[in-house]
Order: sequence, then structure tokens, then C-alpha cells
Amino acid sequence: MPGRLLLGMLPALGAVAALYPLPAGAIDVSPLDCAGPNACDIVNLYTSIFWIAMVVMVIVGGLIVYAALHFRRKDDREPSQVHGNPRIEVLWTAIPLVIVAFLFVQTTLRMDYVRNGPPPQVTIQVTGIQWAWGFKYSNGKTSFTKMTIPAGQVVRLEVTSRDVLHSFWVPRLGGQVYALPGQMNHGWIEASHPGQYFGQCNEFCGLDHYSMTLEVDAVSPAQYQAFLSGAPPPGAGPSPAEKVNGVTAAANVAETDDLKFQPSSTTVKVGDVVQWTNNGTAVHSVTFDNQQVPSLDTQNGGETFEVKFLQPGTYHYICTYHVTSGMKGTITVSGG
Amino acid sequence: MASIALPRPAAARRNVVIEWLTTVDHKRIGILYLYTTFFFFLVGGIMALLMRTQLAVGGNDFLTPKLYNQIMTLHGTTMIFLWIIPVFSGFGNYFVPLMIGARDMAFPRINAFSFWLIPLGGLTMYSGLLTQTGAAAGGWTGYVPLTERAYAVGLGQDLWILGLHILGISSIMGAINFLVTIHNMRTPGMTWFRLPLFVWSIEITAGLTLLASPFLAGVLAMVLLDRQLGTHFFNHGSDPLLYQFIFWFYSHPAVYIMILPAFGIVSEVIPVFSRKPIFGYRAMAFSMAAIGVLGFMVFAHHMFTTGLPLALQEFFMGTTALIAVPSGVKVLNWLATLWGGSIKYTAAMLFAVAFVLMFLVGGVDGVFMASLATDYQIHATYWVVSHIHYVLFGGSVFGVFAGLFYWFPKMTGRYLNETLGKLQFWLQLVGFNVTFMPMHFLGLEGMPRRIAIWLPNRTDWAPWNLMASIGAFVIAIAVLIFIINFAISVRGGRRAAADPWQGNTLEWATTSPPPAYNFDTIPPVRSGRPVRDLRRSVTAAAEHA
Repeated sequence: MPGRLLLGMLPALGAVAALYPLPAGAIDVSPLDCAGPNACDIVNLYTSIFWIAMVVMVIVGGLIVYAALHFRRKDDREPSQVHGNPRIEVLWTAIPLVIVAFLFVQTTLRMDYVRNGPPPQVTIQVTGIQWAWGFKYSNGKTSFTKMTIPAGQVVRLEVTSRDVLHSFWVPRLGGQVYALPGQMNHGWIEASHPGQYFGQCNEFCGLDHYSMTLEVDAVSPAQYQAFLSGAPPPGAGPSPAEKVNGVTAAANVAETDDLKFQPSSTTVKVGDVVQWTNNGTAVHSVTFDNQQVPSLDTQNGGETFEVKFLQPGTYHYICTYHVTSGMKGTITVSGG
Repeated sequence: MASIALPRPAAARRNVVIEWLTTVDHKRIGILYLYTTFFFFLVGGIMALLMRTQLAVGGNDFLTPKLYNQIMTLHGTTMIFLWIIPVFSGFGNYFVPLMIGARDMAFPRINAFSFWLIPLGGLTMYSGLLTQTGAAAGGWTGYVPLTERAYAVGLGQDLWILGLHILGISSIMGAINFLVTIHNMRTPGMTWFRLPLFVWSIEITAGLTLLASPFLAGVLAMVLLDRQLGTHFFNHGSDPLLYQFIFWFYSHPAVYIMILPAFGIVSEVIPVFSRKPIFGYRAMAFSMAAIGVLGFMVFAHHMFTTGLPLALQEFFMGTTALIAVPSGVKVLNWLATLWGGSIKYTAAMLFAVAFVLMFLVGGVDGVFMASLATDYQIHATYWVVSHIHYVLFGGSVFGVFAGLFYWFPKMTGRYLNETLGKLQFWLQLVGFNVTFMPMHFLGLEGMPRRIAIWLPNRTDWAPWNLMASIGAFVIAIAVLIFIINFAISVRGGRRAAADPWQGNTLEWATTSPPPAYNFDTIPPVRSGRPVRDLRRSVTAAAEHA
């Protein structure tokens, strides 16, 4: 149950929330339901600030409400004309100063840990793309949207963007890390236990910002090694397509400077190879929504890219640079 | 004594529409500001209702993401640049000259020009909606590179920038006008420490506007040049954070530009209806000045998650925490003004007291974002949406309504209806909290702001989103009641005398509404409450007789 902490503190509101049944497949992305040391450290700080804030709210808010109710006009006499009281004013300048100084010190002491973390055991490169997340692991393996990490290990994230600003955020594992084009930002996450943790881009990044979700699969270190070495995860079907080089293509798709895939829909048979050629000078990408199909992140003018399709089906792909201009295509693969 | 009928001057026979369109009288310009900005408040409010309808349930398709992003952008820009900032210019225009005992603003024609730029700027911005690619859709912050030509095609973004430039010119000219007026045109005896706190607030706001607005104009000009002339300020490998630094160097002081005049209004309303002087007048003036100065030193707290060096983040955390101190002093001094008072609850006073409470919430929930670590988890979530609305709606907009109910008798010679006013107040207070309190919880449950569709599998978000959407419509009903109240009262409201509330400041020393030249005789100013002094001397003289 998400927001346990919050709802526990606000029982009346929790009761309202409890009226809503939790359907299967419900996803919890509450930073208060921390699932790793970084996120939990922040929850501890949050809780401390929360109680200080509540005390301030209750005392000051209570006094305002009390004064507002108690000192209502009862007769026409003019009340005593108090213009101020320097002693009291100095006192209540000092009290907030002490409170914020305490909060400042308390936060500052935790910042090196929250921001930089312990020495990392694993480093993963994260790239934000309109509107997907790309991950690159230490051995060069890549994945999109779903990142696999070893549970119980400190994972350093090196975050960048290919286009606009994005923000990497898996609330239950740690705070946000901005993805800036041309720069490498860093952060860290750790999942204490294996499981699935969800998030989505938290910096407005254009048309389909809302759909830029991601998932972190925390697995045992042994499973993580198997994932890295490329052994298919148990239960996964055969690969639908593979990248090839120098094979005669059954179909050709051109990428043009007027930002189109030419033709935008192509039909081939199982086992055929499709070749993409960048006919212009603008940079493009060939990015499939099906992550098991190999994609090409950057294709400069004149370069080619070949994919051999092994399974029948319809495969949608986009140029991530120009999808806003409608640069999309489809490959339909018909059976044998 | 024989009287001679003088021929009426030609100007008096002119068409009333032409008269209003060409007026350089500060009071009429003030009223034009109020009408225009209130119109934009309604437009921005309708946009808010559209967004809350879209977000009421998960996976909704009431608005397409393309349209949602435009409305989200225009809602923010409208409410900030076409409502909150200029509505206070409206109050300032009407009341600063009256409160300091002046005949008009220092530069009446520039004043008219500043006003007419407001509708022009607004319409320029909105005209993007008529283009094929739609209006600007980069958020009110307009972060690069999303607003560069590669990602924001079409003219919408350019029109948005032009509109903001026009509004910026208006703000800067208005600020100069206020500063010159306040510095040079105070009536004899109106020393700096007898100046009404509302005038202090406009003085400090104008200073902030004058110093900060050129930075916004500059950074937007750089984006415009990138888009139209192919310069490389913010694309092709330039640092996108440079934009944010310059943008927030304006936009954080702008937050105070949006709240300080409301501080001023509330500091006028609370003493009058408590029948006490403001507690700690000097502390109130100095704390506004301190907020103004510190306001320039906290801007990078909007950028804590961008990977700035830790030492820099800690510096900005420190300055941000410091700004809580003068804000706290203000709240406690308002509390002390209420304390021991003889409080009369008119609609204006209700709005003013609610302002203090809502501002307290908005101040306290801001502390969570000042703390770096917690900010990493709530930055750019609905927590921020909640915080900004507690300050700018629960704060500034409640302050605007306090001012409207308080000064309506002065501006029109009639009261707004108090019963309707109180009904509006309670609906607005409840609706506001029902809308924005749940947004704290949405933030804590990980809901990012600015998402056009929230995914239905985030089931924890469902009750809060529904609640917020219901609250938004309650606010809409409250605003509707105000419009009805206004329509009834402006022609048929109960007649008000020159000094209906037993006010303290000079605007109550003249007729309601004041004549074009403001005062027949300006009362002597021997304290911060010249009209109270006048009342007492009249009473004393009557008793003596």
C-alpha cells in the first residue's frame, strides 16, 4: 500500500483512499515507499521535516485561528493601540532562524551520501530520448525502457540526453537525475530486494512526455550476470529480428532530408533483410518500439543499417529526432 | 449670490467609450487594468478547468496531449503575466497616488501606454492558437532546447516570446512610473515610515521588476534569435542550464513580484478591520525589503536536480532557508495585529485572514523543497503544483479579492454585496483546499506535473485527482458568484460613504469615487494613519463644542 507513511499520518484521508479498491496490476511509484538505502535516507529526512513542519503549522496556524475567532468585535470600544514589541519581534525572528538552521545542517550532513553514494559496484549509462529511455551496461549491452540491475548493489547512473531535457526518476529507489544533452549527470540507486520498480520522465519533454515511462528490474546478482551475457531470460520467445551487415536487402527504406521514411510502410517475408539508407545530410535514427528488434541510435548521412526479420508481425519504428515532424514507419513481416 | 452657468468643456461631452480608451487618469487606468486582468483570470481559469477535466480520471482522452500541452503552457503564462502581475499594477495605479496624496502618477501617458500593452501582449501570445501548429507548448518556463526550433516547430513559440516581450516592456515602464511617483510625489509629511505598507509593497515590487525583467527579456531574445536567425545561444552543444540560470534570475524574484503586493493589501485590510495599527510596522517594511533582496539570491533552488555542484546547491539551500525568516516575521506580525483586536468579519477581512493561513501552508510546504534531499524526490511533481498554488492562489488571489472587497466602495461609491461575498469566500476557501491539498499527496505518490495523461495503473493517484478536479469546479462556482455580485453591485449596490470602513490611509479622505483631481484638500500627515487622526480631531472638536 503506497504512501503508508503519509496515510498513516493522515488517517482520515487514508480512509478516503481505502474506499478505492486496488486492482491487480496497480503500480506503486511513491517515494515514501522507499525500497533502497538512497530513497529511504530521503524518507528519514522527509519525516523529520514533516514533524517540525507539523509543529509549526499547528502552533502558528492554531494561534491564527484562535485569534481570528476569539477577538471578534463585541462592542464599539477601540482596542488598545499596540504598535509593536521589539522584544517579541526579535524572539520570533530568532526562532525561525534556529529552525531553518537546524534543517540546513541536518540536510547538509546527508547530502554527500544522497548525491554521491557509496562506491558503486555497477555503472549504467542512461540516455533520455523523446520519448523513451535507453540503457547501456558495462559490457556494451543495451536495453530500452526496462533497466536491469543487481539487487543489493550500488548502481551508479551516468545520465545524459540525446535531445531535450529529461529527468530520470524511479521514486522508490532514489531521487531524480536530470538528463541534459551534451552533459553527463550522475546519481545512484540501489534496490534492497529483487523486484520491479517503476518511474517516468519527470521533466516536461514535449508532446508525449506523459508516455515516457521506465521500469527497473532488480534481479539477483547471478541473474544479472546472465542478463549481461545475453542468455535469454526464461520464458522469453525467440528473437523477432537481428542486426546484419552486408547482406543483400529484400527491401530498401530511404531517409530523406524532408524528414520521411521512404516508403513509410514496407512488407517483407520472414527471413528477409530490410536496409535503411540515409540519403540526406540530417542525422536520423531507426528506433523500434519493440525492444527486441535492434535499433540504431544515430545514423549520419550516407550510412546504412540492416535488420533481418525472423518472426511475422507488424513492427513500428520512428526517427527519434524527427518524430514530431511525423517521421515514422512500419515494417510488416508476413509468414514464411 | 448669482451663479453663472459655465459652458461645459468639450471633453466632457465626448463619447464615454472614447474617453475610457484615451484616458490618462490613473484611476481609470487602474480600473482598465482590473477589468482586463480579470478577463484573463477567467480565460486562465477555463484552461484550468479543461486540464482538471482531463486529469480527473486516468487514461482520459478528453484533450489530446498536443492540446493539453498548449493549454498547460498558456494557463501558467496567463495566470502569471496577464493576471497576477498586472492586477497588482491595477491596484497600484488606482491607490498609490491616492495613498501618498498625489494628483496622478508621475507619467500619465506612459501609464496609459503600459496598460495598453497588456491586452496586446496577451493577444499576441494567444494568436499562436490560430496557427496550424498551435500555440506555444513548452511550459511557462519555456526551457531550452525544447523551445528551440528543432523541437518546437511553427510560430506558436515565437508569438509566445513576442507576447512576453511586450508584457515585459509594460512591466518595466510601469515599475519606473511607480518608483518615480513614490519617490517624488508624496504629500508633505508622508515620510518613508508613514508610508502605507501597500505603497511599500509596490515600491519593492517595482524595484524587483525593474532589476529582474530585463533578464527575462534578454534570455527570451536569445531564444528568439536562435529560432529566427539561426544563432547558437542554446543549441548545438551550448549549455541548456545557462537558460535556466538567467530565466530563474528573473523568475524567482517574479514570485515575490506576484506576492508582495498581496502582503501590502493584507497589511492594510487586517489593521482596519481589527481596529489596531499594524504590529511592527518597520519590521513589516524591512521584511518585505529583505524578501526582495534575498529573492535575487535563491534562484538556483529551481535547479537542484540538474546536477549542480553540491557546494553550490548547499549555498542556495541556505539562502532559501533564510528567506523563511522574513516570511515568518510577516505571518507572526499579522497574527499579533489580530491579537487583542476588535475584529469585524467583512468579506474583505475573511479573505485577508484566509490569506495568512494559506500563505502559511504555502510557506511550510516550501521548506520541503528547500531541503536538497527531499527536493530530489518532490521536484517537478504535483507537490510543486500544490506549493505554487498555495502561494499564488491561496496567497495572491485571496489577497486580490480582499483588495477588491475592501476598495470597491472607494472605486465605485457602492459596496459589493456582503452576503454573496461571504458565500463566495467559503466556497472558494473549501474549493481551493479540496483542489490543492490533495496535490501534496499526489506529489508524495510520485505523480509528475505537466503530464497530459496519467496512466491508469497508478491507482493511488485516482482519488486525489478526482478530488482535485471536483474542487476546481467548486472554485469556478465561487468565481461565478463574484461575477454575479459584481454585476449586481456595480450599479445597484448599497451606497458607500467616503470612509465606510473607518480606514487609516489617505484614499479614505476623499469622496467615493474620488474626483479626477483626487483631493479637494489633502489632510495633514502626522502619523502613519492620517485619516484616523482626522476622524479623532473631528470627534474631539465636536466634543469640545
